[in-house]
Amino acid sequence: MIGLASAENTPRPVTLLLILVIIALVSLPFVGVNPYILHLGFLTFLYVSLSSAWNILGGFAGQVSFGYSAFFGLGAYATGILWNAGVNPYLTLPVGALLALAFSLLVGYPCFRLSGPYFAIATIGIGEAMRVIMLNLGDITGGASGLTMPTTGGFSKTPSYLSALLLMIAVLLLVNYIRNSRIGLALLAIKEDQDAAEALGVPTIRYKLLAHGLGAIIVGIAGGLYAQYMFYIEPNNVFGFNLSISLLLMPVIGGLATLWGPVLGAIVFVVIQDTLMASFPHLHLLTYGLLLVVIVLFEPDGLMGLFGRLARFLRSRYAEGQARAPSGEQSL
Amino acid sequence: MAVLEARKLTKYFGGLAAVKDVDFQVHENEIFGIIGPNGAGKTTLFNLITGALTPSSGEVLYRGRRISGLRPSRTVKMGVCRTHQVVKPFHKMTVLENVLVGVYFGLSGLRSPARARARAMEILEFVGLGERADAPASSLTIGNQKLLEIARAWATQPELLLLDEVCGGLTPTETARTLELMRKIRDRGVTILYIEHNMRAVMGVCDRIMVLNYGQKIAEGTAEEVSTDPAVIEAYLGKTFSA
Repeated sequence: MIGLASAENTPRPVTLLLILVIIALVSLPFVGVNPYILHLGFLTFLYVSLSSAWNILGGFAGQVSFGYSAFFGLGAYATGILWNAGVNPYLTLPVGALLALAFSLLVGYPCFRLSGPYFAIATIGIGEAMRVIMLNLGDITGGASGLTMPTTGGFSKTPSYLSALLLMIAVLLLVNYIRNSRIGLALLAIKEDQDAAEALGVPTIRYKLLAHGLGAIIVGIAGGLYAQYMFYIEPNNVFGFNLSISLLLMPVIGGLATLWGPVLGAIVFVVIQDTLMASFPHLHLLTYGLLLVVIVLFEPDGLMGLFGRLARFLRSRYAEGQARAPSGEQSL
Repeated sequence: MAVLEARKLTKYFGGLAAVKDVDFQVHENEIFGIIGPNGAGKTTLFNLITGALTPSSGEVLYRGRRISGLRPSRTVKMGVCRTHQVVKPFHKMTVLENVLVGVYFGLSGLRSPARARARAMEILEFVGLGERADAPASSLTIGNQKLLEIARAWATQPELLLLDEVCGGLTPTETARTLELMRKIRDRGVTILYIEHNMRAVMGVCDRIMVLNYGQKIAEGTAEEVSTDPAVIEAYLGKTFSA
């Protein structure tokens, strides 16, 4: 079911293939590829990291949060402000991560006493409150006119591309570890029945805080990378409700509580955004909406569920064919 | 010292006393039953003991330490585990994974996956669900889901096991199997507090029984003592039969 009891780890050929893919992705900037490809690569790695981060609490533990933009914004502003103050931009990333972690614990401690829709509603309020506060802290955040960063480092996309790739690999390894450990089992138990999990000794609030904190660290770092890449941030963007929604849409589209679902969801997301945004500025929102409705109605397990169903169907057709062949011979 | 002791335990819902001034002691390694007609306060009492409800007054002591008001995950770490009357299996997990939760997060909290799996498998064999280990929990019959509920609780290595109507709705064969399992668990040194509606089950397995009616204790003793007690007969069958 979840690959824990049966110890079904990723088969060796797949691991090899993944290593090859990573080598190819790392070497991409050094073979003189079109900068636009690097741009798409950066966005994809960033969104995969964000989507997988949301999946830890939202997918495995089933706690739907609309407030993740707060972590992204904190990471982005930590980088922006410290970079402008002369700190090396890479050293600003851990600061943003720690800020996001601290905020996640502060918010999680009271909110995890709520359950179901009440938790989700509380997170909407917190996300929006952060946006408004940051808009009004003009002296620190630059308010609605935003914050511009030093551009002396030049405009090479390669460092950002590689940082985002590294983040994505780290996140996927983390999720893979969680999925196969007692942490993953605890989170899934919380999703299925929190009271039963608690009664069997799972400290449910502590595990939700852990999942929330891990997600926050990742999203905070991603926010910092975004600031480094864009050289410009503003509260309505990095603290925006749209961002929180996107974070949630990707894993839902791809498949919750899986390793590859959020990856697929993020890729679909970037592709749709890239192909539709330029020509029809609002059509991508409509597309996500439609996708969401279709998925919730017909395939709650997302694209991964759809692929699983397809694979089972093909396998059963194959098995049927195998079974029919010998009997056919007999009748002849 | 008593393993579990309730002192003047009382719970009001509005003006209604669901449980009133109940005192009892559960001794080491016994099976202690609590019975009573519908609405007698059994489930409320159970929830007070497990901390799901906080008492209006009175307290519950486990080996001299107060446990009322603690989170269930804390009491598990002290060696007290409960089952639920309405079974709560983790439907999307396999039977084995359900038990693994208890193994990983119970009293000793195994960390090695290989050892945890072996231990979970051992427990499933012990309760008689070994063959269903890889089946989704949702595919089990109600009888087997009740066994799984006990298996998961047993997996946390409790010293005191609180069972809530584990024979409710079972066929006579399933009931006999569950009672046999309870005896096997007791033989491993565990103390059991057992709340049950099913009279025959309680009478057959318990060393001592407490009878509740309208939230108050009306009798306590062995199965024989309790079943011949006029107050108990009156509570169950009405005044006509008590003479």
